[in-house]
Amino acid sequence: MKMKKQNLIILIIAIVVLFGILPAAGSNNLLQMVTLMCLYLAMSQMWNLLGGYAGMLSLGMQAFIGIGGYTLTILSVQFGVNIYLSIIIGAVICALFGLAVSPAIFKMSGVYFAIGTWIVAEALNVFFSNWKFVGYAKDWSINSVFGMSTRQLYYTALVVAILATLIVFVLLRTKTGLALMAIRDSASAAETMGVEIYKTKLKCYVIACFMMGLIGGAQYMQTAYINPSTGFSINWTIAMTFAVIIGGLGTMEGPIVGAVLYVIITQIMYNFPGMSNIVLGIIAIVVILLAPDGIMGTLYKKTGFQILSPRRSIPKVGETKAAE
Amino acid sequence: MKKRFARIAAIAVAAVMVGSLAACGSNGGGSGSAAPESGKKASGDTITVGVVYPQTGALAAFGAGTEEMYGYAVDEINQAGGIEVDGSAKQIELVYADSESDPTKASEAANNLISSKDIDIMLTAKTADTTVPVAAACERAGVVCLSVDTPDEAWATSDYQYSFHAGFNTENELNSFKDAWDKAGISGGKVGVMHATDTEGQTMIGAISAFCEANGYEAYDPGAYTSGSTDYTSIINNLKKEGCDAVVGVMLTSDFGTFFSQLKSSGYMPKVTTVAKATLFKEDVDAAGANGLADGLCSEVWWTPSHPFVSSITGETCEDIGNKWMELTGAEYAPATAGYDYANVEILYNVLKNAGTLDTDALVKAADELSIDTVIGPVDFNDQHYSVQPLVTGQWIYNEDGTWTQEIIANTQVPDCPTTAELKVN
Repeated sequence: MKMKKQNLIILIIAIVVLFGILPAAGSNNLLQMVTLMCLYLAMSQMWNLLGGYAGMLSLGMQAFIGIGGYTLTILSVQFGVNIYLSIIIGAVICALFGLAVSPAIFKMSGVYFAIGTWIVAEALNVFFSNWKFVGYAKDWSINSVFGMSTRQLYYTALVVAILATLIVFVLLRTKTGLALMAIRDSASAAETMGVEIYKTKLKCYVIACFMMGLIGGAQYMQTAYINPSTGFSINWTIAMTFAVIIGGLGTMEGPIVGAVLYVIITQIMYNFPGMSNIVLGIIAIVVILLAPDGIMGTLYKKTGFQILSPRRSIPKVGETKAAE
Repeated sequence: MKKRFARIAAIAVAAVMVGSLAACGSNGGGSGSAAPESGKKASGDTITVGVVYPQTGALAAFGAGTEEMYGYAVDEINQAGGIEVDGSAKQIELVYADSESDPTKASEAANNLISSKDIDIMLTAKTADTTVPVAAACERAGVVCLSVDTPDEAWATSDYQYSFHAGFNTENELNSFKDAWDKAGISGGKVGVMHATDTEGQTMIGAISAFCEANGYEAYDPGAYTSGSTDYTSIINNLKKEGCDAVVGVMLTSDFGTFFSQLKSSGYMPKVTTVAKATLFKEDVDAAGANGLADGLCSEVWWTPSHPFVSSITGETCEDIGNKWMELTGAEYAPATAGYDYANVEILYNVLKNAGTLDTDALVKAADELSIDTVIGPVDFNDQHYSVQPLVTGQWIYNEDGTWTQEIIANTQVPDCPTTAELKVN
């Protein structure tokens, strides 16, 4: 593990080169798949930051995908605002909205928190369906993205994915990260040690909300169609949860592996209509039963392999120097 | 030891991920060297046509029989030698993808067909939840998209460049309902409007006041409901208070079932109820409520085997198409989707034939200029890229043996389609 830093640099260079040459070398299909992987990766990374590190199992992240998508739609289609500016405004709105609902939902914890966030998302669905400004529940074709090249979508998604990963990577290596991992391992122990739980959680939540808005905007550039029931669909959160669980909850590599697998599986399953959910369900059950820590979590336990996650809990024998 | 393990594991994971990426890449049929943006493959001897429709999920009943009917119509074309494109006769090959009755999935399925199957043209059908996202995906990628089975205004959510649609519009829908109101003898009466907050509901409430005024009726808005609502009491009370003679609406089957059973138990029943969308199929009207709850309900009818139109491919009549549907699917009757499925392939056939090439601009031009007679009537796309098909008026009758019959009670828009019964008034 001494060569960790060196490994990391090589890995990053390899990835940058790979992603850089992809648009030139890869087919449209490959490019589109990688675009989807980037988007799901970013979503899962954020969900993992909340669920895996901050102990906030949210079932309502679709609220922010929806707000991001709707802001993109309304601003760019209705008011002709630049697409990227619309997405950033959407993300800011998400962060503010997250901040606004946090006093209420942070009163809940565990399963109540999960249900509370879900209810917020469902309430938004109903609210948008009855809100004149967004055309009630009408179907929007996001014609501001019509004719946009696959390459442009790819780069947008790539930037979002890198940003999401980078945020988690950096955040976990700060004091907040230390506090987060303490909370993950034992909230009450962390509190007695002087970790400000509420503040730490809030910081993560607002960051995740902001990023979800960004991801929602980038996602709807790709989908080019939105209405309240799709924007605020629980399916978004199911996808994130799935990716994180099979990849490995509370690891940084987990969401990456999970998102890549999720996209590959769903793409293959287009050839077998109706089977997609069954196959995803079976995989999730098998992983939970056989390897409850997910692919990367299990790998770490068995071999100590990790690239990105800082692990300060239970250092392995002979690896005490590994931290940092 | 542990380090070696870690290294091997790292290499293994990397290898798996790279390998899977490579595998996905080859899914594209070796199109790696194709021109990047919506580049057409070098012409083979087939025309690849993508079809997105709901094979599973809530709209699965709507999608039933699609592959049989599309396949049948395409076989007719292929057996007659295919279509002359770029100087040689080519066969049509259909590739299907499932929308899972979910708009987001429909969009992803369309993207998947466009990029991985390298399709030349897209067909889609079965409600706005399918046709609108698929059209949006095609617009984004610059692929021509032909669709049916959605009201025109619900489909025309944007100015399309590559997408074309054949459906009916709200005006025809309301006219087919007005025929039922007239026959119920409530001329000049008050019509309550059931509308959800979705696109179709908004379109109807936006159009109905002017329509009623022009035809001597009075429209009454009892307030919008949100789809999925389980309590219609206040809306029903409003309808009752206003003493509406008729109720008109555009509702999902599930919403309609809930609303109608609450309406029945409220003790108030308008003379005639005309609801679009909810009861296209016998299964729907049966699902709306037990023991013939929806008996007497009027709905718009898109197509029947008695329609007086013929196929532009073979000259088959609507009756032939209907019989073929029953033979292929084993169903006991041919629903409206039988005709519309066939017509979608007819439109595809004529656009390809007239364009004579797979070039996108030429296909768009051919669709723009299209003017043909199909099994769903004349198809001619307007400036907004949609064609307006005629409707007749049907009424569901619950038979004593527990089966349903759809009687045709008015035929103003298709006079040669025979009516089968007089309107039964409550």
